[in-house]
Amino acid sequence: MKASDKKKIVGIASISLLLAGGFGYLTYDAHQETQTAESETDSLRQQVATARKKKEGIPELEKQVIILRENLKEYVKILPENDEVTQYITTINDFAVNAGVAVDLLRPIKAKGAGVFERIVYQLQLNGNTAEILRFLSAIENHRRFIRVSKFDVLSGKRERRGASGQEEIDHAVTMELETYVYNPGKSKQPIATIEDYERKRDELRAQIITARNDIQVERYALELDLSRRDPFLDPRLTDEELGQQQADYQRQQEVVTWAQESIALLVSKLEEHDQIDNLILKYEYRKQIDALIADFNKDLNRALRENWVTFPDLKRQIQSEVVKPFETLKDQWGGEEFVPQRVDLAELEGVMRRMTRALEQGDHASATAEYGLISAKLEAARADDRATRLVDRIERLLKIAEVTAEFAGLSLDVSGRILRPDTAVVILNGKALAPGEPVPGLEGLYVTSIAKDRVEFLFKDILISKTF
Amino acid sequence: MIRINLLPDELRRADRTSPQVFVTLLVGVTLVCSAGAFFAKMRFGTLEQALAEKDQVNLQWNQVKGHAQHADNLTAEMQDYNRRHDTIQKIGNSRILWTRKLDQLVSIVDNHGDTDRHWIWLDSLRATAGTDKGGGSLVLAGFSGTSELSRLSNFHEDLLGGDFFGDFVSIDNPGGSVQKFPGLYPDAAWQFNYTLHLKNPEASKKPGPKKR
Repeated sequence: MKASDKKKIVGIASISLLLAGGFGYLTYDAHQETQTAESETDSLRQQVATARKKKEGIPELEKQVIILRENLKEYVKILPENDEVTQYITTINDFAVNAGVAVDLLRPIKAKGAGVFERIVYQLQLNGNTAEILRFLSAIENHRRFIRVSKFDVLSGKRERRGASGQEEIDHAVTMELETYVYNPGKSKQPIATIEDYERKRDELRAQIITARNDIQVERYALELDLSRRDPFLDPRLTDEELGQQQADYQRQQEVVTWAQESIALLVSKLEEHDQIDNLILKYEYRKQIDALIADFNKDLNRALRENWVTFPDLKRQIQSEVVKPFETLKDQWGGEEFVPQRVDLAELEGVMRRMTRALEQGDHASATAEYGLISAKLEAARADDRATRLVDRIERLLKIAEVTAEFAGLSLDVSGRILRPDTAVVILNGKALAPGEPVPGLEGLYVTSIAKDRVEFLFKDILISKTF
Repeated sequence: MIRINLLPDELRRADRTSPQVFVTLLVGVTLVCSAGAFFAKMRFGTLEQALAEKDQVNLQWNQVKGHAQHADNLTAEMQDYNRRHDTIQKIGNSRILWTRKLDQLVSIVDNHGDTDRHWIWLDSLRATAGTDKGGGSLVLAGFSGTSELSRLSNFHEDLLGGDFFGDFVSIDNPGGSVQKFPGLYPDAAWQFNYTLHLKNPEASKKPGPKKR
């Protein structure tokens, strides 16, 4: 081989390898790029799939957010607003005055944390007897805004004088800590999502919003104070001298109870006599006498109760059950306060009626019932207004439809066939052949009224219901 | 050996490429062409296709990413509202109604005026609501009239029975010490100190169903 050929071979081989290597590098680079693109595409594809799934869930999410948003406004109503906390002292003072306790100290305590829900704590010192303390506690715990009694100490008061009238009013020293929370939505870092056509969606969810509203309820206790009970913080022991004094007091108080019992008996007999009088003029005169007797006794009894003429627990109990309660009943029967009907807004009635109708048209009997619940307490009073009577009747009718359709929806109805001829129609319902006008066996109050190709009409508890099968 | 070609240039046979050079050239050209073809396929075929596919998916992403963001915002808002809902529920449930407890205690101590079963008066009461996880208590310190132990035991029994004890989980066993009070009626009394431990307020109250 020539030397030049060798050179050529080396040159060709070198150039070829160089070019092939160059292409190899470019191919590798393109491959890398392809892999990157494919991996990015896969990742994007997953994101798209996730996003599509999320998109499908948007209507349900919006629904939940609307329900929560609307109800949160209601839920937080249990908590005081900022400006109400500044009036806290006034509120507590009002409670104390009404309950009869004397507040000695009221001071704010630094509370931890100041997020969306800011905790406010007050320490309180007061004096009062057990009945007064109970009244004050009740006012605090039944306040329309949430207040929690987190600590509560009672130290019994010292008796200066024993048994003079059976049971003295001794003040006890009370220390308590009251806490509440203020809602500061402005401190939340969570942005509010924009929901298009919010008002319409909210209106459509009205029934569900109302249903969810009862989710949070604050328990309350209605105190019915029985003043005949002994003060548990009062030392009941007596000296011999006090024991003698107490017996005399007891006798005197017993006389008061007897007087009250006799007065009630007299009033009852007067009322019976009044009922037996036929002469209208005489009856009127008699009525005036009874009015005067009731007024006098009312005045005397109130004075006796106000001035604590009866303090022994058993006598107190006796006067409450045998005099105060029967007298209240007697006054009511004789002519108590007249019932003042609650004012009802006609537009409100119309609105409820419209929404109930719409809900029933959509087959949503639960929403219709919920709408009725909003106004049910006012309906009886609304009948006093002639203009409202028609609307009330209509609303009551819609409620009946809602209840009956709800009951109907729970019935087990299985249509397995239909025979439609010009002269007759039969439906095979729950295995029985039934013609229009026939009752459905086993389902009381349910009748087939008409049969069509795609539906059967029933009469159930006076309501016509059409069902497609 | 030296060979000399004496023929004039025009008559001389042209130099042939040697077979080795030719083969090398052929192999080189084939190699370069193959590499070029493979590169072209990779660059203008596979890569272009992958990029086109990516563009298409990107386009789809651009169409749905707004919805995804909206769904994320809604989810975050819902979680935030749920947290607030739970906090309000916790606040509402964390309360022990001391009015009810004190009212019930007054009735137990009074016992409808009957002092034969027990005759109690309290010296002090200390109530602590605890936290939402529990830890609350009610400490009653007082006296049971007369030295009869049965009356103290009856009071303990009355505390345990009925609605009053419903919010508690435990109470100290009955016990105490007799104190003498000459010149008073009764002249002796059992001094006691009972601690009643509250239930976890949240556990004792069932919240309503949540709509989520």
